[in-house]
Amino acid sequence: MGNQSQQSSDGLDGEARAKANDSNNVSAEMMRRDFLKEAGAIAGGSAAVGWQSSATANVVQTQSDPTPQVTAIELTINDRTVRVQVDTRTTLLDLLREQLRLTGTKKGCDQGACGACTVLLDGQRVLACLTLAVTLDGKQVVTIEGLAKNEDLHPLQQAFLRCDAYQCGYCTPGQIMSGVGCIQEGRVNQSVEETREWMSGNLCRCSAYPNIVAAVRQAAGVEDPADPTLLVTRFDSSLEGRDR
Amino acid sequence: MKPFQFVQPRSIEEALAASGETSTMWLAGGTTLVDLMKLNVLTPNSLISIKPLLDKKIQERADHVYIGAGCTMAMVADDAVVKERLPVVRQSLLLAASPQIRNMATMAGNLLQRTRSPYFRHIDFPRTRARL
Repeated sequence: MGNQSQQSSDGLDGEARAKANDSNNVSAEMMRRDFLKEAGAIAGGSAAVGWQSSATANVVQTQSDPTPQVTAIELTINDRTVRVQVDTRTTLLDLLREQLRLTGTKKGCDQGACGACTVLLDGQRVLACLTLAVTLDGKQVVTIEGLAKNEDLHPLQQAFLRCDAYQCGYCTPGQIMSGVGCIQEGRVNQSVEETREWMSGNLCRCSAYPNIVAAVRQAAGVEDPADPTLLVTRFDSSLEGRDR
Repeated sequence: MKPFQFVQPRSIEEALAASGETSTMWLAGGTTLVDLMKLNVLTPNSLISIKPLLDKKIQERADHVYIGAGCTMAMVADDAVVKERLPVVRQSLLLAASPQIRNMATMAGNLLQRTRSPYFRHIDFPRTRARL
């Protein structure tokens, strides 16, 4: 069921697919993950190398299990209405990344610990990896792709650039979405410790935390816009040997 | 994850009627259930979505505070009545999980949460789930 002949294999109908492609300019170019998939298949030889979604990963099916159920949902993603068929097991994260090709939202731990998949659902920051897509009929989702207005970056995106608030960048979309939620909730108006606490749902393996906190606080207007590295006291050789 | 049927009842009565089947679980915030289903630790044949149906009121009453089962941890922590009357509840909620999880997880789900033991979460230790 679900994937009838007019349906593409990803479950999108033609219109929604065109929109999704159009919004990301991914129709013609090869996606990096397609490349990685193919490269992995070549490198892995006969080893089972494949991209696993929550729906297809870890399936232990017995005869008594129900057959997979596919349901049509309609939701708004970044101000676009999207009609899509989803397996009930599909998480919002896999819907975004695999069916809609909005790969800005990252899969980190896939078990709700790291915050890399943070998106705004009806204005609130939530974890896309623990949200079943089938529960989202009629809901509004904003992802990292929905923040910028054409060429104009969102103030928090600008602050991340200014503050160099990343190293590898993998946690960055989640950090930014969480920061947007954090600022909207009015959590970023007190101490640095308060900001850290309210951003603590997002882990950064590179440990760019001081810069992330600075970016969020600058975007919230509680600190002046500046590159935080300029605030670090530099070693001054003329002071060498003096009493402190 | 094992395939399951998704049921969206329109009322609590419908939800209860649908719950008669074996291997049925109720889905509210999903922060633990979806996680454990991904691990094949919980393998319900059907999920009944009850978050839209659950009560989300918080009310100050004569000698107690009424908190609806469907209130998220964030809703309770930020409620004016809770701030005033139950500051320790607010504090403990804000020390739990993460802001994102607190926006999702319900109070009822917290009360019914499965053990956090790593053995329970591990598919190779089925005896830890013998009572399920």
